[in-house]
Amino acid sequence: MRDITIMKKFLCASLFIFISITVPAKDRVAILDFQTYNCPQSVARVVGQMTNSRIFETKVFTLVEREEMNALLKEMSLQQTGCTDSSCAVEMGKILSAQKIVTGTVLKMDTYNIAIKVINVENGKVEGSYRSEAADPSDFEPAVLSIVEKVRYDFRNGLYLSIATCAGYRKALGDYSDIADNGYGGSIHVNLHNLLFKGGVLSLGTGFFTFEGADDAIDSILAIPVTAGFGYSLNLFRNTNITPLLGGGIHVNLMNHDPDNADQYGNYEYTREVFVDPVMFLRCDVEMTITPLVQLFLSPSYTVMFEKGKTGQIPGLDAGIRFTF
Amino acid sequence: MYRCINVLIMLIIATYPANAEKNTAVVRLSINTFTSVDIDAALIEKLTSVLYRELVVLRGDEYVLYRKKGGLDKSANRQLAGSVEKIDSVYYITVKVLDGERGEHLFNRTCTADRDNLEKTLKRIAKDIHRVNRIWKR
Repeated sequence: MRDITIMKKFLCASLFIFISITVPAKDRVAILDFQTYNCPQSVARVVGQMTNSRIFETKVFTLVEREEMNALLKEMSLQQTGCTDSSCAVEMGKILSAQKIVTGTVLKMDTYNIAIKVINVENGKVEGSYRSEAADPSDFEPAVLSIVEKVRYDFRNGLYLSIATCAGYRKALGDYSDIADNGYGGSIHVNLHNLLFKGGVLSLGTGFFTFEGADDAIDSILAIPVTAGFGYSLNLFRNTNITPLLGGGIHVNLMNHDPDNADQYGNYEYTREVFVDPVMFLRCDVEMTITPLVQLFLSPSYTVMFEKGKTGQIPGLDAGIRFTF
Repeated sequence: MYRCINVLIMLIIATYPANAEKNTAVVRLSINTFTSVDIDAALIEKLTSVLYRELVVLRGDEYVLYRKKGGLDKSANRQLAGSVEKIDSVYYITVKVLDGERGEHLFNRTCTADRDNLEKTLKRIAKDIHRVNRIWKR
């Protein structure tokens, strides 16, 4: 009894330490007013505020308000007009007790060039520099989003969770094609990001797929996959991420025989109603960020199912939506 | 035994409606008139009051204050600041709610709207602010 209590305490302490280590405190970040060149001030304000809102939505940083401190900054002759270099931004960051400062510019040539820098207040180092282009004001939103997506990718170092729901198609090939044909269904994936190292993704998934029977003896097969995979997430370009995953699990197959035809043929080799087979899969999630919280994704996959020395191949394609927390 | 009694007493006090009301009333949101570079002051004033009225309907006037001029009201522990800008025919509305004590953002949203949809957009933002628990609890 005493051992169990000690064990419980040990588990609680381990969990607390694990969470403390993996979920670091968010950096306090102040975003300075954007500077404009060759375009009206209102453009800089709009792009700056859009960036502000989108960075807030990522939940990567704690944003601190700069405008409140304007009076103090004025007193210290650090009004923002003219504060374009890193040293000035660093000084401003110290006054705002921020760990990082974000500065930005909008330059109008043929197109609007948006550039932002993330500066570490402690050492004045530029930790990230990002650029994007907008053909016209209607393009500001995607341009800002592509920058913010890169910021999120670079600065979100702690563990975080995402949940995806998708609909998909499967095709039974190899030995599995003897009993099944096309499959349709849906699945749910819970992903844990930045596990073990930055970009590491653990994906746990389940769902259901209904396969058409390949011969008259089997009406349909309901396959319930339960899988776990590990992969690496990479920012490909703009707001597109790619995550190749390799994993394994089981498929619980519930077979519905056609009794009349089964009598007629009587020669199908699967006589069980339910069979559980191990599977291995390779999947590649291609995600497009719509907002920092919502991504659309397309996920081609290739699953190999093992059944008594036989192997079935199940290529598939899923499309769905992911919510990041 | 005493610990159990203490916990029970605390639970009873916390669930007593009058006290619950008193605790939540501590949070007050001060709405500051929006700012803009080149939109006329009358429209800005009107849009701010649309947001204020909607929040009063949703939360009650004891939680929501309207500060027309001057800097941020330091007596309120939540500050709402916003801006409206216009580029071509599109309006860009930004609304942020700050923790007045720590200067941190609790809500920050930028929306686009055309002239006819300005009020509808602000009402939608008010509903979103109303739903964020972090704003209304200390």
